[in-house]
Amino acid sequence: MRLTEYKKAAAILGVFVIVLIIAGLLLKGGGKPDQVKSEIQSWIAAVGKPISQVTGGIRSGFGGIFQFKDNLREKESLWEEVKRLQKENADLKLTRSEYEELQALSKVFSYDTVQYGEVQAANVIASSSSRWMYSFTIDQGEKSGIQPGAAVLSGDCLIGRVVEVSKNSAKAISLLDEGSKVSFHAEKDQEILGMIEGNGKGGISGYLLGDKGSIQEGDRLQTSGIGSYPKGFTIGIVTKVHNRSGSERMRFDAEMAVDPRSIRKVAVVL
Amino acid sequence: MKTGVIAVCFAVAFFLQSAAGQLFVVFGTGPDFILCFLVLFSFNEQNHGATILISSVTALLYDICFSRVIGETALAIWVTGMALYVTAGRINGWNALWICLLTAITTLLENLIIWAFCAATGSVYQLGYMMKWMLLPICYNTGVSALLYFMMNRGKGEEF
Repeated sequence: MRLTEYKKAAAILGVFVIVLIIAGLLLKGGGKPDQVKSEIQSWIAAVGKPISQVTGGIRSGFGGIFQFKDNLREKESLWEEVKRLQKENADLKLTRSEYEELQALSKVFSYDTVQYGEVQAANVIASSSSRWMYSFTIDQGEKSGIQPGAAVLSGDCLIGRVVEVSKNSAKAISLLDEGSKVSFHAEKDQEILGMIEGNGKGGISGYLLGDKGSIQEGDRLQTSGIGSYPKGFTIGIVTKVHNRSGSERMRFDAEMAVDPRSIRKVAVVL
Repeated sequence: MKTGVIAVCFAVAFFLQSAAGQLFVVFGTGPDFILCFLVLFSFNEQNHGATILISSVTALLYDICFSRVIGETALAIWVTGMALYVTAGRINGWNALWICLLTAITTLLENLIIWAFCAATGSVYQLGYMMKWMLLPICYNTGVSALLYFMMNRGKGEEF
Protein backbone atom coordinates (compact mmCIF):
# COMPACT_ATOMS: atom_id res chain seq x y z
CA MET A 1 0.00 0.00 0.00
CA ARG A 2 1.43 3.39 -0.98
CA LEU A 3 1.74 6.36 1.43
CA THR A 4 -1.15 8.21 -0.25
CA GLU A 5 -3.40 5.20 0.30
CA TYR A 6 -2.51 5.18 4.01
CA LYS A 7 -3.37 8.87 4.17
CA LYS A 8 -6.67 8.17 2.48
CA ALA A 9 -7.45 5.35 4.92
CA ALA A 10 -6.48 7.55 7.87
CA ALA A 11 -8.74 10.34 6.58
CA ILE A 12 -11.66 7.92 6.27
CA LEU A 13 -11.03 6.66 9.81
CA GLY A 14 -10.79 10.21 11.14
CA VAL A 15 -14.04 11.28 9.53
CA PHE A 16 -15.77 8.18 10.85
CA VAL A 17 -14.56 8.90 14.38
CA ILE A 18 -16.12 12.37 14.07
CA VAL A 19 -19.35 10.82 12.81
CA LEU A 20 -19.33 8.41 15.77
CA ILE A 21 -18.86 11.31 18.19
CA ILE A 22 -21.84 13.12 16.62
CA ALA A 23 -23.83 9.89 16.89
CA GLY A 24 -22.87 9.62 20.54
CA LEU A 25 -24.05 13.17 21.18
CA LEU A 26 -27.31 12.44 19.40
CA LEU A 27 -27.76 9.31 21.50
CA LYS A 28 -27.80 11.33 24.71
CA GLY A 29 -31.53 11.95 24.37
CA GLY A 30 -32.47 8.35 25.21
CA GLY A 31 -36.23 7.69 24.81
CA LYS A 32 -36.93 11.33 23.99
CA PRO A 33 -34.62 12.56 21.24
CA ASP A 34 -32.88 15.90 21.52
CA GLN A 35 -33.56 18.81 19.22
CA VAL A 36 -31.15 17.90 16.36
CA LYS A 37 -32.23 14.27 16.22
CA SER A 38 -35.91 15.22 16.45
CA GLU A 39 -35.51 17.70 13.57
CA ILE A 40 -33.78 15.08 11.39
CA GLN A 41 -36.50 12.52 12.14
CA SER A 42 -39.32 15.00 11.46
CA TRP A 43 -37.76 16.17 8.19
CA ILE A 44 -37.21 12.64 6.91
CA ALA A 45 -40.70 11.60 8.05
CA ALA A 46 -42.13 14.54 6.08
CA VAL A 47 -40.28 13.47 2.91
CA GLY A 48 -40.88 9.76 3.47
CA LYS A 49 -44.63 9.96 4.16
CA PRO A 50 -45.78 10.79 0.58
CA ILE A 51 -43.30 8.26 -0.87
CA SER A 52 -44.67 5.61 1.49
CA GLN A 53 -48.27 6.44 0.56
CA VAL A 54 -47.56 6.26 -3.19
CA THR A 55 -45.58 3.00 -2.99
CA GLY A 56 -48.14 1.48 -0.61
CA GLY A 57 -50.87 2.33 -3.14
CA ILE A 58 -48.88 0.79 -6.01
CA ARG A 59 -48.22 -2.40 -4.07
CA SER A 60 -51.81 -2.87 -2.91
CA GLY A 61 -53.06 -2.06 -6.44
CA PHE A 62 -50.88 -4.70 -8.09
CA GLY A 63 -51.42 -7.10 -5.22
CA GLY A 64 -55.18 -6.89 -5.83
CA ILE A 65 -54.77 -8.01 -9.44
CA PHE A 66 -52.70 -11.07 -8.62
CA GLN A 67 -54.54 -12.05 -5.43
CA PHE A 68 -58.17 -11.85 -6.51
CA LYS A 69 -58.95 -15.33 -5.12
CA ASP A 70 -57.58 -14.35 -1.73
CA ASN A 71 -59.57 -11.12 -1.94
CA LEU A 72 -62.78 -13.06 -2.61
CA ARG A 73 -62.11 -15.27 0.41
CA GLU A 74 -61.37 -12.17 2.48
CA LYS A 75 -64.63 -10.59 1.30
CA GLU A 76 -66.58 -13.67 2.48
CA SER A 77 -64.93 -13.59 5.89
CA LEU A 78 -65.53 -9.84 6.15
CA TRP A 79 -69.24 -10.37 5.49
CA GLU A 80 -69.30 -12.87 8.35
CA GLU A 81 -67.46 -10.34 10.51
CA VAL A 82 -69.97 -7.60 9.62
CA LYS A 83 -72.89 -9.83 10.64
CA ARG A 84 -71.17 -10.68 13.94
CA LEU A 85 -70.36 -7.01 14.61
CA GLN A 86 -73.94 -5.92 13.85
CA LYS A 87 -75.18 -8.33 16.52
CA GLU A 88 -72.46 -7.16 18.92
CA ASN A 89 -73.41 -3.55 18.20
CA ALA A 90 -77.02 -4.23 19.15
CA ASP A 91 -75.87 -5.75 22.45
CA LEU A 92 -73.52 -2.82 23.08
CA LYS A 93 -76.35 -0.29 22.62
CA LEU A 94 -78.05 -1.90 25.60
CA THR A 95 -74.80 -1.84 27.58
CA ARG A 96 -74.24 1.81 26.63
CA SER A 97 -77.55 2.92 28.08
CA GLU A 98 -76.56 1.17 31.32
CA TYR A 99 -73.13 2.87 31.17
CA GLU A 100 -74.74 6.30 30.73
CA GLU A 101 -76.97 5.69 33.70
CA LEU A 102 -73.92 4.74 35.78
CA GLN A 103 -72.02 7.83 34.61
CA ALA A 104 -74.94 10.04 35.64
CA LEU A 105 -74.92 8.35 39.02
CA SER A 106 -71.13 8.80 39.38
CA LYS A 107 -71.60 12.56 38.81
CA VAL A 108 -74.27 12.72 41.47
CA PHE A 109 -71.95 11.00 43.97
CA SER A 110 -68.77 12.82 42.71
CA TYR A 111 -67.14 9.45 41.98
CA ASP A 112 -64.11 9.40 39.61
CA THR A 113 -64.63 6.75 36.95
CA VAL A 114 -61.67 4.94 35.44
CA GLN A 115 -60.57 6.69 32.21
CA TYR A 116 -59.31 4.39 29.47
CA GLY A 117 -56.52 5.74 27.27
CA GLU A 118 -57.51 7.36 24.00
CA VAL A 119 -56.23 5.89 20.78
CA GLN A 120 -54.36 7.68 17.97
CA ALA A 121 -54.44 6.17 14.48
CA ALA A 122 -51.15 6.20 12.54
CA ASN A 123 -49.65 4.96 9.27
CA VAL A 124 -46.47 2.91 9.07
CA ILE A 125 -44.23 5.08 6.89
CA ALA A 126 -41.06 2.99 7.04
CA SER A 127 -39.89 -0.35 8.33
CA SER A 128 -36.70 -2.36 8.64
CA SER A 129 -35.88 -4.37 5.54
CA SER A 130 -34.54 -7.47 7.28
CA ARG A 131 -36.67 -10.53 7.97
CA TRP A 132 -35.04 -11.53 11.25
CA MET A 133 -35.75 -8.29 13.13
CA TYR A 134 -38.57 -5.82 12.85
CA SER A 135 -38.93 -2.19 13.82
CA PHE A 136 -41.08 0.44 12.15
CA THR A 137 -41.73 4.16 12.05
CA ILE A 138 -45.18 5.76 12.23
CA ASP A 139 -46.33 9.17 10.99
CA GLN A 140 -47.61 10.45 14.35
CA GLY A 141 -45.45 11.71 17.18
CA GLU A 142 -45.24 14.05 20.13
CA LYS A 143 -47.71 16.52 18.57
CA SER A 144 -50.40 13.82 18.67
CA GLY A 145 -49.65 13.04 22.31
CA ILE A 146 -47.68 9.83 21.73
CA GLN A 147 -45.19 9.00 24.48
CA PRO A 148 -42.32 6.46 24.66
CA GLY A 149 -43.60 3.12 25.95
CA ALA A 150 -47.11 3.55 24.47
CA ALA A 151 -48.74 0.31 23.26
CA VAL A 152 -49.09 -0.12 19.48
CA LEU A 153 -52.17 -2.02 18.31
CA SER A 154 -53.61 -3.49 15.16
CA GLY A 155 -57.35 -3.91 15.68
CA ASP A 156 -57.63 -5.49 19.11
CA CYS A 157 -54.17 -7.07 18.91
CA LEU A 158 -51.06 -5.79 20.65
CA ILE A 159 -48.13 -5.71 18.22
CA GLY A 160 -45.47 -3.68 20.04
CA ARG A 161 -44.56 -0.47 21.76
CA VAL A 162 -43.19 2.97 20.95
CA VAL A 163 -39.50 3.32 21.82
CA GLU A 164 -38.74 6.84 20.65
CA VAL A 165 -40.82 9.89 19.78
CA SER A 166 -40.03 12.98 17.73
CA LYS A 167 -42.38 15.84 16.81
CA ASN A 168 -44.13 14.18 13.86
CA SER A 169 -43.01 10.57 13.95
CA ALA A 170 -42.28 7.74 16.34
CA LYS A 171 -40.17 4.58 16.25
CA ALA A 172 -41.75 1.35 17.44
CA ILE A 173 -40.58 -2.23 17.88
CA SER A 174 -42.65 -5.39 17.71
CA LEU A 175 -43.26 -7.68 20.68
CA LEU A 176 -40.91 -10.18 19.01
CA ASP A 177 -38.01 -7.78 19.58
CA GLU A 178 -38.89 -7.22 23.19
CA GLY A 179 -36.43 -8.21 25.84
CA SER A 180 -38.98 -7.26 28.51
CA LYS A 181 -41.81 -9.48 29.68
CA VAL A 182 -45.52 -8.80 29.12
CA SER A 183 -48.09 -9.94 31.65
CA PHE A 184 -51.06 -11.87 30.20
CA HIS A 185 -54.19 -13.77 31.11
CA ALA A 186 -55.87 -16.50 29.10
CA GLU A 187 -58.93 -15.30 27.16
CA LYS A 188 -60.95 -18.33 28.34
CA ASP A 189 -60.21 -17.70 32.02
CA GLN A 190 -58.84 -14.45 33.44
CA GLU A 191 -57.63 -16.28 36.54
CA ILE A 192 -54.92 -17.98 34.44
CA LEU A 193 -52.04 -15.49 34.56
CA GLY A 194 -48.52 -15.59 33.20
CA MET A 195 -45.62 -13.80 31.56
CA ILE A 196 -44.59 -13.79 27.91
CA GLU A 197 -41.65 -12.40 25.89
CA GLY A 198 -39.92 -12.63 22.51
CA ASN A 199 -37.93 -15.88 22.34
CA GLY A 200 -35.31 -14.74 19.84
CA LYS A 201 -36.51 -17.29 17.28
CA GLY A 202 -39.27 -15.22 15.70
CA GLY A 203 -41.94 -16.26 18.17
CA ILE A 204 -42.98 -15.63 21.75
CA SER A 205 -42.58 -17.93 24.74
CA GLY A 206 -43.96 -17.74 28.22
CA TYR A 207 -44.92 -19.46 31.42
CA LEU A 208 -47.87 -19.54 33.80
CA LEU A 209 -47.80 -17.95 37.23
CA GLY A 210 -49.25 -20.08 39.99
CA ASP A 211 -51.05 -23.38 39.64
CA LYS A 212 -54.52 -22.11 38.73
CA GLY A 213 -55.71 -23.78 35.56
CA SER A 214 -53.75 -24.70 32.46
CA ILE A 215 -53.58 -23.75 28.83
CA GLN A 216 -53.78 -25.77 25.62
CA GLU A 217 -52.72 -25.26 22.04
CA GLY A 218 -54.98 -22.73 20.34
CA ASP A 219 -55.75 -20.74 23.50
CA ARG A 220 -55.69 -16.97 23.00
CA LEU A 221 -53.66 -14.79 25.35
CA GLN A 222 -54.59 -11.23 26.32
CA THR A 223 -52.80 -8.44 28.16
CA SER A 224 -53.70 -8.59 31.83
CA GLY A 225 -53.35 -4.86 32.52
CA ILE A 226 -50.52 -5.46 34.98
CA GLY A 227 -47.54 -3.36 33.91
CA SER A 228 -47.38 -0.84 31.09
CA TYR A 229 -49.84 -2.40 28.62
CA PRO A 230 -53.59 -1.79 28.88
CA LYS A 231 -55.86 -4.74 29.65
CA GLY A 232 -57.75 -6.91 27.18
CA PHE A 233 -55.70 -6.77 23.96
CA THR A 234 -54.89 -10.04 22.22
CA ILE A 235 -51.18 -10.89 22.29
CA GLY A 236 -51.02 -14.27 20.60
CA ILE A 237 -52.16 -17.84 20.23
CA VAL A 238 -50.53 -20.80 22.00
CA THR A 239 -48.84 -23.13 19.51
CA LYS A 240 -47.06 -25.62 21.77
CA VAL A 241 -47.27 -26.50 25.45
CA HIS A 242 -44.09 -28.02 26.92
CA ASN A 243 -44.20 -31.00 29.24
CA ARG A 244 -43.33 -30.12 32.80
CA SER A 245 -41.89 -32.22 35.55
CA GLY A 246 -42.64 -31.89 39.26
CA SER A 247 -43.25 -28.36 40.50
CA GLU A 248 -41.92 -26.75 37.31
CA ARG A 249 -43.99 -23.92 35.83
CA MET A 250 -46.07 -24.65 32.74
CA ARG A 251 -44.13 -23.31 29.75
CA PHE A 252 -45.34 -22.80 26.20
CA ASP A 253 -44.59 -21.27 22.80
CA ALA A 254 -46.97 -18.95 21.00
CA GLU A 255 -47.26 -16.96 17.81
CA MET A 256 -48.38 -13.36 17.58
CA ALA A 257 -52.05 -12.90 16.69
CA VAL A 258 -51.09 -10.72 13.70
CA ASP A 259 -47.86 -10.54 11.74
CA PRO A 260 -46.56 -7.00 12.38
CA ARG A 261 -44.71 -7.03 9.04
CA SER A 262 -47.97 -7.03 7.09
CA ILE A 263 -49.47 -4.02 8.86
CA ARG A 264 -49.64 -0.55 7.30
CA LYS A 265 -52.02 1.10 9.78
CA VAL A 266 -51.78 0.98 13.55
CA ALA A 267 -53.37 2.54 16.62
CA VAL A 268 -51.34 3.90 19.52
CA VAL A 269 -52.76 4.03 23.04
CA LEU A 270 -52.10 7.53 24.42
CA MET B 1 -17.78 8.74 -10.53
CA LYS B 2 -18.28 12.21 -9.05
CA THR B 3 -18.92 12.60 -5.32
CA GLY B 4 -22.20 14.45 -5.99
CA VAL B 5 -23.55 11.56 -8.08
CA ILE B 6 -22.58 9.08 -5.32
CA ALA B 7 -24.37 11.25 -2.73
CA VAL B 8 -27.54 11.41 -4.87
CA CYS B 9 -27.44 7.63 -5.41
CA PHE B 10 -27.19 6.97 -1.66
CA ALA B 11 -30.02 9.46 -0.97
CA VAL B 12 -32.18 7.53 -3.44
CA ALA B 13 -31.07 4.24 -1.81
CA PHE B 14 -32.07 5.64 1.61
CA PHE B 15 -35.65 6.41 0.57
CA LEU B 16 -35.97 3.24 -1.52
CA GLN B 17 -34.96 1.19 1.50
CA SER B 18 -37.12 2.95 4.07
CA ALA B 19 -40.19 4.79 2.77
CA ALA B 20 -40.54 2.84 -0.50
CA GLY B 21 -39.27 -0.39 1.04
CA GLN B 22 -42.69 -2.09 1.10
CA LEU B 23 -42.77 -1.98 -2.70
CA PHE B 24 -39.90 -4.47 -2.90
CA VAL B 25 -40.70 -6.75 0.04
CA VAL B 26 -40.85 -10.45 -0.82
CA PHE B 27 -41.45 -13.03 1.96
CA GLY B 28 -40.89 -10.30 4.55
CA THR B 29 -37.49 -9.25 3.17
CA GLY B 30 -36.54 -6.18 1.18
CA PRO B 31 -33.27 -5.46 -0.59
CA ASP B 32 -30.55 -3.51 1.18
CA PHE B 33 -30.05 -0.73 -1.37
CA ILE B 34 -27.37 1.07 0.69
CA LEU B 35 -25.23 -2.09 0.70
CA CYS B 36 -25.87 -2.77 -3.00
CA PHE B 37 -24.75 0.74 -3.96
CA LEU B 38 -21.72 0.44 -1.65
CA VAL B 39 -20.59 -2.76 -3.41
CA LEU B 40 -21.30 -1.24 -6.82
CA PHE B 41 -19.29 1.92 -6.18
CA SER B 42 -16.43 0.04 -4.52
CA PHE B 43 -14.64 -0.65 -7.76
CA ASN B 44 -14.52 3.06 -8.51
CA GLU B 45 -11.23 3.27 -6.63
CA GLN B 46 -10.60 6.99 -7.13
CA ASN B 47 -13.59 7.86 -4.97
CA HIS B 48 -13.53 5.02 -2.50
CA GLY B 49 -13.13 7.34 0.50
CA ALA B 50 -16.17 9.39 -0.47
CA THR B 51 -18.19 6.20 -1.06
CA ILE B 52 -17.42 4.86 2.43
CA LEU B 53 -18.08 8.21 4.06
CA ILE B 54 -21.37 8.92 2.26
CA SER B 55 -22.64 5.35 2.75
CA SER B 56 -21.77 5.48 6.48
CA VAL B 57 -23.55 8.84 6.91
CA THR B 58 -26.58 7.50 5.00
CA ALA B 59 -26.62 4.44 7.26
CA LEU B 60 -26.34 6.69 10.31
CA LEU B 61 -29.35 8.69 9.10
CA TYR B 62 -31.20 5.40 8.61
CA ASP B 63 -30.35 4.45 12.20
CA ILE B 64 -31.47 7.83 13.58
CA CYS B 65 -34.82 7.53 11.85
CA PHE B 66 -35.64 3.83 11.83
CA SER B 67 -33.34 1.61 13.89
CA ARG B 68 -33.78 0.46 17.46
CA VAL B 69 -30.21 1.39 18.37
CA ILE B 70 -28.29 4.24 16.70
CA GLY B 71 -25.08 3.06 15.11
CA GLU B 72 -25.89 -0.56 14.20
CA THR B 73 -26.28 -0.04 10.44
CA ALA B 74 -23.66 2.74 10.31
CA LEU B 75 -21.03 0.55 11.95
CA ALA B 76 -21.92 -2.44 9.76
CA ILE B 77 -21.77 -0.36 6.56
CA TRP B 78 -18.48 1.27 7.56
CA VAL B 79 -16.80 -2.08 8.36
CA THR B 80 -18.17 -3.53 5.12
CA GLY B 81 -16.93 -0.49 3.19
CA MET B 82 -13.46 -0.82 4.68
CA ALA B 83 -13.41 -4.55 3.85
CA LEU B 84 -14.38 -3.72 0.27
CA TYR B 85 -11.68 -1.03 0.18
CA VAL B 86 -9.04 -3.61 1.07
CA THR B 87 -10.49 -6.18 -1.35
CA ALA B 88 -11.04 -3.79 -4.28
CA GLY B 89 -7.31 -3.04 -4.67
CA ARG B 90 -6.54 -6.73 -5.12
CA ILE B 91 -9.09 -7.45 -7.82
CA ASN B 92 -8.16 -6.97 -11.44
CA GLY B 93 -10.95 -6.85 -13.99
CA TRP B 94 -14.24 -6.27 -12.20
CA ASN B 95 -17.21 -8.06 -13.69
CA ALA B 96 -20.75 -9.12 -12.77
CA LEU B 97 -19.50 -12.28 -11.09
CA TRP B 98 -17.31 -10.29 -8.68
CA ILE B 99 -20.25 -7.98 -7.90
CA CYS B 100 -22.51 -10.95 -7.11
CA LEU B 101 -19.89 -12.72 -5.00
CA LEU B 102 -18.99 -9.61 -3.01
CA THR B 103 -22.65 -8.69 -2.49
CA ALA B 104 -23.36 -12.15 -1.07
CA ILE B 105 -20.36 -12.03 1.28
CA THR B 106 -20.96 -8.45 2.42
CA THR B 107 -24.68 -9.12 3.06
CA LEU B 108 -23.67 -11.85 5.47
CA LEU B 109 -20.95 -9.68 7.01
CA GLU B 110 -23.29 -6.70 7.46
CA ASN B 111 -26.00 -8.80 9.10
CA LEU B 112 -23.48 -10.49 11.41
CA ILE B 113 -22.24 -7.08 12.59
CA ILE B 114 -25.80 -5.81 13.10
CA TRP B 115 -26.67 -8.99 15.01
CA ALA B 116 -23.55 -8.62 17.22
CA PHE B 117 -24.39 -4.94 17.84
CA CYS B 118 -28.00 -5.84 18.71
CA ALA B 119 -26.92 -8.72 20.96
CA ALA B 120 -24.58 -6.37 22.82
CA THR B 121 -27.41 -3.89 23.36
CA GLY B 122 -29.96 -6.38 24.71
CA SER B 123 -31.71 -7.79 21.63
CA VAL B 124 -33.24 -11.25 22.10
CA TYR B 125 -32.53 -12.62 18.60
CA GLN B 126 -30.40 -15.76 18.42
CA LEU B 127 -27.60 -16.19 15.88
CA GLY B 128 -29.16 -19.42 14.54
CA TYR B 129 -32.47 -17.64 13.86
CA MET B 130 -30.72 -14.79 12.07
CA MET B 131 -28.70 -17.21 9.90
CA LYS B 132 -31.90 -19.11 9.03
CA TRP B 133 -33.21 -15.99 7.32
CA MET B 134 -29.98 -15.06 5.49
CA LEU B 135 -30.42 -16.99 2.25
CA LEU B 136 -33.27 -14.83 0.99
CA PRO B 137 -31.58 -11.41 1.56
CA ILE B 138 -28.33 -12.77 0.06
CA CYS B 139 -30.19 -13.81 -3.11
CA TYR B 140 -32.23 -10.61 -3.17
CA ASN B 141 -29.25 -8.25 -2.70
CA THR B 142 -27.18 -10.20 -5.23
CA GLY B 143 -29.97 -9.91 -7.79
CA VAL B 144 -30.40 -6.16 -7.18
CA SER B 145 -26.63 -5.54 -7.40
CA ALA B 146 -26.38 -7.49 -10.66
CA LEU B 147 -29.34 -5.57 -12.08
CA LEU B 148 -27.86 -2.21 -11.07
CA TYR B 149 -24.48 -3.26 -12.49
CA PHE B 150 -25.96 -4.09 -15.88
CA MET B 151 -28.03 -0.87 -15.86
CA MET B 152 -24.93 1.22 -15.12
CA ASN B 153 -22.83 -0.59 -17.68
CA ARG B 154 -25.30 -0.49 -20.52
CA GLY B 155 -23.37 0.49 -23.61
CA LYS B 156 -20.05 0.60 -21.74
CA GLY B 157 -18.95 -2.99 -22.21
CA GLU B 158 -18.44 -5.47 -19.40
CA GLU B 159 -16.02 -3.47 -17.25
CA PHE B 160 -16.18 0.07 -15.86
